[in-house]
Amino acid sequence: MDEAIQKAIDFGLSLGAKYVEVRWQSDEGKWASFRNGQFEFSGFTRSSGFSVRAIAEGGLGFAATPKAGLQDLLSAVERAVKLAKAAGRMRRRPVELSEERLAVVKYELPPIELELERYLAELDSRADKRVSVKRFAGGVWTTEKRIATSDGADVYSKIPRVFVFGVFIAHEPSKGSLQRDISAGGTSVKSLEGFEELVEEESRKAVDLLDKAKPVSPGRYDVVFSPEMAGIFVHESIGHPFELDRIFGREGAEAGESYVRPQNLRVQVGSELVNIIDDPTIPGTYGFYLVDEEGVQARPKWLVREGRANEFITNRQYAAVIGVHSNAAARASAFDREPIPRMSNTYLVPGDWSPEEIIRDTRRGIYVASYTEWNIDDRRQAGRYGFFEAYLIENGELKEPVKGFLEVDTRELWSGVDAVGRNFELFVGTCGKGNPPQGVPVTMGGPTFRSKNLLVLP
Amino acid sequence: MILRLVERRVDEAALVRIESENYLLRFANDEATAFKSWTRTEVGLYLAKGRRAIALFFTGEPDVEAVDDALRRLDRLPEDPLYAPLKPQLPPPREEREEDFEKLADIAAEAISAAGGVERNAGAAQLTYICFEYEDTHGGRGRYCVNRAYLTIRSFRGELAATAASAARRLSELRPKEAGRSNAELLELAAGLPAEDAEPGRRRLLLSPLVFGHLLGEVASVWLAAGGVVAGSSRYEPGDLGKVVASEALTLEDATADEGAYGFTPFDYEGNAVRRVELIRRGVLAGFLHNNRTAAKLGASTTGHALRGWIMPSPGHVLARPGDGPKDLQGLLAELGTGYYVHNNWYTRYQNIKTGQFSTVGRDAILAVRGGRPVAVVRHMRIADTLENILRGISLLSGEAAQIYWWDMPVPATVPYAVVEDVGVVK
Repeated sequence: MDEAIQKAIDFGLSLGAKYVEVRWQSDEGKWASFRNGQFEFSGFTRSSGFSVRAIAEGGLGFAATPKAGLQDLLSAVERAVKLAKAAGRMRRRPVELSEERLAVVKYELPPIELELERYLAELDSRADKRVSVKRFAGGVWTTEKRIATSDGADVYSKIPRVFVFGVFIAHEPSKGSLQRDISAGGTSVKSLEGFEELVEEESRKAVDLLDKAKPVSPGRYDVVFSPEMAGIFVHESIGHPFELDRIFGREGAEAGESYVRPQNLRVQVGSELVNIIDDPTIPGTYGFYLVDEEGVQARPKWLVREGRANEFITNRQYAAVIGVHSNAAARASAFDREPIPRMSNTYLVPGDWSPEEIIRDTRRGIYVASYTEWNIDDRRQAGRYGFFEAYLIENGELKEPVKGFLEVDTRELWSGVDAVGRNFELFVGTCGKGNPPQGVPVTMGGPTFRSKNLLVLP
Repeated sequence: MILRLVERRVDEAALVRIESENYLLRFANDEATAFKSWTRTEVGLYLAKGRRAIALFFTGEPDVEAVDDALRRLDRLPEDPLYAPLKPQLPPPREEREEDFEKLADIAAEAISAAGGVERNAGAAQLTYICFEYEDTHGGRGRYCVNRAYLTIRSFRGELAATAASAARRLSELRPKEAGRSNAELLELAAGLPAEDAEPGRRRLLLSPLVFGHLLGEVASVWLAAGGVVAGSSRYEPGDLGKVVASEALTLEDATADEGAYGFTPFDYEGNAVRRVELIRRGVLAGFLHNNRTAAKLGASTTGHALRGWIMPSPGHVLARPGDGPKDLQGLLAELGTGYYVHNNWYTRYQNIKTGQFSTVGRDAILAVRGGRPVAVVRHMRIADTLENILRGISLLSGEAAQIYWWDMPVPATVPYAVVEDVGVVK
């Protein structure tokens, strides 16, 4: 393969490309699902092939082929260069890449051994019998990549991943219904530890909370959020709007733009207690990698430092736009997808409170442990999060469960932060972006924290 | 070849081979951001033995070792409670020539230049040429090759934005000028208006085809595809057929079998011809989308909607019949009287798919309308309601439907504008 890749790069340069990047990627694994106590289906998936990115005459071209032969690869190179030149005719400013010290490295993790159908059957048996719909699905697969660029990157990686999720719907005609989705995953079976117990707990809660949670009185509350809530907030209201391609409009017609504007990047987003990091190098995590798809070595990215925008999630192209180095965020979900700036493991940095202290310190508030429905506008300002599990706080004590929604502006949420816990937890997810859409494995989380005076509605 | 290798070790097997050439020109700030092309060769293999079934998917050629492993796994799997034998009913082969992808650049440029008076445009123009072959151990064989194309353009003017989409079976049927022009017109209409907050409560809404098509696609995907009915996650049960579930104004069909529909598919993964299905007839629940498995479970016939694999059926193109309302936006705003015009939406999420409690975020220019005229641009607004209320609240459909598809739509659609009464609105 090495020889073929080198020939492909040389061929692309000979066609007039200024930059050529060749990636071979294989994603191979098994999946299975259970529904309402019955085995549903099981399968095998393998997706593999070459992709080529080329910059020529100022434009960016991308071509991919599932075939592994040299001629197929060379023909993909030819297409990528031709498309780059065509794109260049529709540009005023040429596409440039930042200069980087590129990685030459091989790394791999041990494979994951898991009898998937048996594991899902075990999960199914642990769910509360009173839920009316329960579904479990999961997959175990390995992603293998070989990346080489015309400016010297040469990287091989092999990373296994496991992902499982469960959905429970409790339904009682007189009370309506309540749905809970949970998931777990990572680069080893260790990431599934405790998931059976979580299935028991959360399926039971679906039934109990449907029965007991009462609509919250509308108003402004001091709200204490769990690590799960910290996760969805950092992902939606910081991670996405800090993607530099989005800030410069590249996702404008699809995933949207950002409240961070190109002419004012260093915005204040929160109080001084707010520090948010995206770090792909955390071992074992679902969003783990050490080198990105452009051959840049990964490192933690301090997106927000003491409440202010500090750096952005970027690839080499957008790093060049603002005159910085790439921070290795270029990721592609499959061999036939273009690498674009993506999150990995995004979290709120822990502080020095214990979670119990934060509750005890709250006179009138709400503790939100988990969410159901959520969404946010396409500039990532106006968020709405439905509660799955939440409780009133009165004089420092948790009281009855409530149901409702948080309607919150991003700056309001982070500016109101006055207590950040020292606990820490990450939650897995699949992050969507790009056209064609690309789902990439990520985690999100942080500690328990409190934000003051937020609007909560029934 | 693979079928010959496995036929003695299974009761039945089916192989599909999908070869697709995909071309996508993306643009932002009126510049091409990337011109992409990807070839996909996907091979799917379905194996069944003693009511046990397994599916394998490969890009490129199937791997004999993986097939061997699957055959060993097959013996250990639990029985498939929805197992149903293959009974292919394949239409004659159908071939189309691949369209010229180089025209995508002209289409994008034409849309951008038609959006006069806006500050910048972003969007995508895509062409897919797909060839699908089916073969099984019963001797069934089928093949089709078709083109699909769509264009999205989003135009920006200050803080305002507007999106237009066009979907078709041929590049020449896309409407780039109309797309660019309609964005420019909407932004011109909105540009001089003051901004105001949405007033939460139940409101009368005019939904553009982008929004109405999106919501009908959700209904078809989560409630009308029979997989959800079998699983109990659909709002409907088999006994609901024949009951009133929507406004009398609504007749909803799955038009995947229509030659002109984006997503047109002659036959499915089970080798069954795709049928046009009436899902809701004048407000009455008329049918579900089936594959062999759900049809056997519910005592129905397959409608050929194993469109994405063998496991569960899914819609391919939803179509709502136009009504007797005006055909133009100004006329529809006049009919709306007082309420909101929602031009686009995204990020639809469910509290619960069974009850269909959802919210979706309004996107682009949302207009407050009073006395039949737009009077303000609404800052942030969501529709937060149940799918059932949307279906039952339809009071008027425009006299013309548009064929559309864009990045955030669950299913391609041909739908009119819709006025819907008493829809839940939050900020």
